[in-house]
Amino acid sequence: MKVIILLLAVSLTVAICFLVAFIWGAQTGQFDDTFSPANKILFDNKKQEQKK
Amino acid sequence: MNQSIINIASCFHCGDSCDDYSQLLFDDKKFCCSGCKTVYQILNKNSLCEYYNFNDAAGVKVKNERDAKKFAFLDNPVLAAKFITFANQQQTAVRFYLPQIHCSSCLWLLENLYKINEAIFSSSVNFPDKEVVIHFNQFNISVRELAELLASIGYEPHISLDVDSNITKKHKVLSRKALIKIGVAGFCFANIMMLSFPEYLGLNSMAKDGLSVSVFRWLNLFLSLPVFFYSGTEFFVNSWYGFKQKMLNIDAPIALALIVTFSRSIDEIAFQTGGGYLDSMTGIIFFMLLGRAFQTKTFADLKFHRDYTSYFPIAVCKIIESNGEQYLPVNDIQIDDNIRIRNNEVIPVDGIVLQGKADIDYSFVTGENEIAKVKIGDIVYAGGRQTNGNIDILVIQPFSQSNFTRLWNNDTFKKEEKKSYSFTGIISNYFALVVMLIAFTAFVYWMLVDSNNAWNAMTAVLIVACPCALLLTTTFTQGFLMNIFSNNGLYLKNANILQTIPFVNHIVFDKTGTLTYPNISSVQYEGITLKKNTELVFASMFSQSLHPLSKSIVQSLNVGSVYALENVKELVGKGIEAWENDMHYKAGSSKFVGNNAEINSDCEVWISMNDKVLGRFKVSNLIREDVDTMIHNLPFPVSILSGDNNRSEGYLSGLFKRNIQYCFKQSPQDKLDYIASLQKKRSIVMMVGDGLNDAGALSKCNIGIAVVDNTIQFSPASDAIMLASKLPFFNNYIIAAKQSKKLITLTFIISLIYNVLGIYFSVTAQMSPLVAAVLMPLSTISIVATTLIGSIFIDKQCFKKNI
Repeated sequence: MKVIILLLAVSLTVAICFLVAFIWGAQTGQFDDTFSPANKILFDNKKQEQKK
Repeated sequence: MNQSIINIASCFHCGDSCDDYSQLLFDDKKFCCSGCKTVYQILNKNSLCEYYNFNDAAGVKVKNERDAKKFAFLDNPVLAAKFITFANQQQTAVRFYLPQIHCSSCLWLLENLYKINEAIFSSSVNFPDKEVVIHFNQFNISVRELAELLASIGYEPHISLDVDSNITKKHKVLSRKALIKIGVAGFCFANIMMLSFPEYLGLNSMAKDGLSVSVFRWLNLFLSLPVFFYSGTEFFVNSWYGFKQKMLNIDAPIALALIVTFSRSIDEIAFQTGGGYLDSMTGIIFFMLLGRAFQTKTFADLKFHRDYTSYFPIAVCKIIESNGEQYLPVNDIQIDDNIRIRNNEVIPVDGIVLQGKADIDYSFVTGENEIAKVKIGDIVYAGGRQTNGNIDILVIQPFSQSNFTRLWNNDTFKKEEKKSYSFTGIISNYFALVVMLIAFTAFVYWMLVDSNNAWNAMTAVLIVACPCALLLTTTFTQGFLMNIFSNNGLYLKNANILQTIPFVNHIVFDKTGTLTYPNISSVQYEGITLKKNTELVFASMFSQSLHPLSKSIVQSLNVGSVYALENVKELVGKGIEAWENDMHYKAGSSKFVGNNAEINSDCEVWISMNDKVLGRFKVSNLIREDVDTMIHNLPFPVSILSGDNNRSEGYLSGLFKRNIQYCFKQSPQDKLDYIASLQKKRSIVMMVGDGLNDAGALSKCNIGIAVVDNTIQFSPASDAIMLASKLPFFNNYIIAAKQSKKLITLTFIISLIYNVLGIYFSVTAQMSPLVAAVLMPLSTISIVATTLIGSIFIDKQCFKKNI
């Protein structure tokens, strides 16, 4: 049963990594605007074509 | 895809219906007005028509006439600096608030601004805040030109002094912090729940070596630290502040319960007597924070706290002797300054008219829907809106002392908190006292009987029966309901308003602009059909008249351009007559046109040609659609206040078919006094109004609701803001508020049952870890579920059917 302690440590480490990622994301403002980034990626970028 | 829009006659740009598009065709596309057409042309020229591919008719309707100098004040570097967020040698960044942003097309266009003007390097949109940050070359384009560019494509920046870039930034940092707090609490709560499974299943006694169980427990304790010391700080801080002001606020019982739970859990884990109650402690913090996040959801584009300064233009144009103009902030105006008021601007200070035709619309201040003509040399007062071209005035009072600010010196505006009727607050206070009493009694009892159990019993009572469940109930229910209300067009300032609504027993409506459409009067013509050219003559005649009804009649005739008649005579109090093409035209009272048979009424204008009566125009303020049935069905006494004269009383009482107290010719002060007199009779008054003239009454009454046509529009300070289109469903909101009171009571009862059970077990000192572990999460989760289901039910019952 002692293996469960190892598993516990591993799972908590992984989970804490995600928590840190979340805190980093929230602090750098990645949750401030949940609409525009999702839509921006759908826009065709014709900028280069025009410049050529 | 775009073809489908063209089949039905709707504007290609904004989607409004356009019946008369013959002159507004461009590229085979129909437009409803020249404004929309111009935007299309600009976009077309810069090959930005992709804009229309993301959403059908995505455009924002542009008002036709725009004052060319509206943004001229941005040439003043001090004023422009309010919008600049960053500047160096190569580039400048400005931030504008554009309330029109609503879809992905807006996003696309605003991020492609660099295609329209080469001086713009880039622009980025913050969608939820409706803001755009533009980086540009300050040597090739000015802030003013940028604002004008945005306005020309339909996104006119919303300019007001309280859009202070610093404030919005602070607000954002705070909400990020709140998000992280919830995230941390949720993470720890979920992990602690998982690690507590051996405890729930009673495995601790079965484990062969004691080590593994205590590892779980210590891990739990470790995980609970960030929740207790980071996420939960606001409960301690708030209750400490309350404590310092000698008040037990709503956070105090929570803080107490958290401290007791946490210290007892440490005790149990350290001495290996049990697993503690960390799961329920973190759970309560997590759910409380979540519920509060729902409740404090801010409406970024709505402003509830407005004082009079926000009604004025941000800058005024001062005329300097050498025929120059200079833009000054309103507060810098001094006596004897010579300032220019543009068409449609609000006059910020009292002054003497020097030049121009001063037709001042004081409806904002007085509620009277008539335009005052002020002669040169006479005084105009702050708060009026100029409606006929530019005027120059000589300032006789500085901004802060103008006549207009007098209303705000009324005590009502020296804000004391409005009395709210929150029954949950009262009950939870009593509840906290009762719980403490029980805990203490249990402690004393067990000290006498078996002192080993005393501490256990007392702390168990405090933990299990803490009023958190009750508070959780209200925070969640109110949060859900506020969301439902705002989805349906009623934005509440805070949750207390929701609790006060069911107590309301008198509703006061403002008439002009609230029950009626602002600026639209309905004009009906009865009589012989007029020929085109006769109609034109009458329209020209009315356009030269000073009578308040004339303007509405000209609008209703819709003849296009009128011309100046030469032989016109206006007889004050009677009518107007004109000689044109050897014909004699008359318009005015029935007596004036020679029709003695009919009794004259105030809102009728008769017309005649060569002394032959043609017919009459009936003018009435148009009541908003379906408002009549709404008022008819309201289950309270209703009063209607109006700044207008009483000519519409007969019409209104015919329409509403019920007993209504009418008060006409009410000044803002009269309205305030009327509310006060109702409150003296112990009525709980809800006031529904729209203009500045209702501002006093709105803040005096128990619940003030400001009616707006769209959320961008200015509204006076109020407790709630309502979309005018939702006014017919007014009753539904009141029913929903009453239902929500029932829902809160129901969840209260549920949590009380849990509490009584919990207290029974803990007082009798037979609270096993298993019972506690099952009972507490169960109570929290079942309460949250009940409020959620209940709110959805209310939403369905009160709103989905009709709205």
